[in-house]
Amino acid sequence: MSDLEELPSVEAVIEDPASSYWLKASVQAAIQRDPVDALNDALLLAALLDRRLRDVMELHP
Amino acid sequence: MSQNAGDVGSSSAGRRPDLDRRRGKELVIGRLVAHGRAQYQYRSEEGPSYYVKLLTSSGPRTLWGKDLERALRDAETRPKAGDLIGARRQAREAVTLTQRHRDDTGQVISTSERIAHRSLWVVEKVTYFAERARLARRVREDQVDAKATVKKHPELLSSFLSVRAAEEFANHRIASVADRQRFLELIRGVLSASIHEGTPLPNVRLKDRGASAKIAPPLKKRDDPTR
Repeated sequence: MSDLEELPSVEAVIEDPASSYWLKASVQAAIQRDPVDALNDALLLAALLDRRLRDVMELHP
Repeated sequence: MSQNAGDVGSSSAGRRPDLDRRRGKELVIGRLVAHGRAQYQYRSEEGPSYYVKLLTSSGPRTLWGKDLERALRDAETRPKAGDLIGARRQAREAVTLTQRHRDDTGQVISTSERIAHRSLWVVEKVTYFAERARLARRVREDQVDAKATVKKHPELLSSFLSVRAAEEFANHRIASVADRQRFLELIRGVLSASIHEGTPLPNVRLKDRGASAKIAPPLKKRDDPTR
């Protein structure tokens, strides 16, 4: 079973009323880009946001 | 055979991520994608286990462990798919595993038992860990505002009482001021770490509260029962 099996499709995220406007706009902008560059940037963004969450919520050991 | 091994090793931006990883106590943060029962690692020859699929900042990740089912069922914050959650191995317990030996056709021909360690998990919405981290700092810091803190967070009473008991012990048993301070720092550190890691806080019974406050027991009348 793939780890990505349960992930929704791009279309489902865009059409989902529960998705945030920020996520919809980001997905729509990202799919216009080169997929390698877009994923590379997205992974960095995710890592930065992970660190920010741990900083803001003081989740460090 | 069920392995019950948890998945550790994702990146962490903490101040001591390597230490936490080595201890297997890192806080894994991610969006809860799915969870359920399955054969360990989806391998038919393995025993029953439980998986939690997360979408972390470093990609999809699957945690495995029988205790994950209990951790999700008992979670205070009731995480559900789509929530941003944290998962942390808080302890390990010894369990006896039954190993099944099979022949070439897959038939079980013998069994044997061995001792293994099962991870105990805490799985909660990520805000839970932030609150616990805040409470842990309160205990670690000085006791000046202990009363006000306990009024606001009654769940911390047992931790403060433990510190108070340690202070009493140190005052009576440890002569050196430096040793006394080191001892109390150690106690506060242990309690703080326990709260931080999400260990359930014990309830304090009135009996404990009375004992800690050094309230003298009522004088017994002659005819009162001794117990």
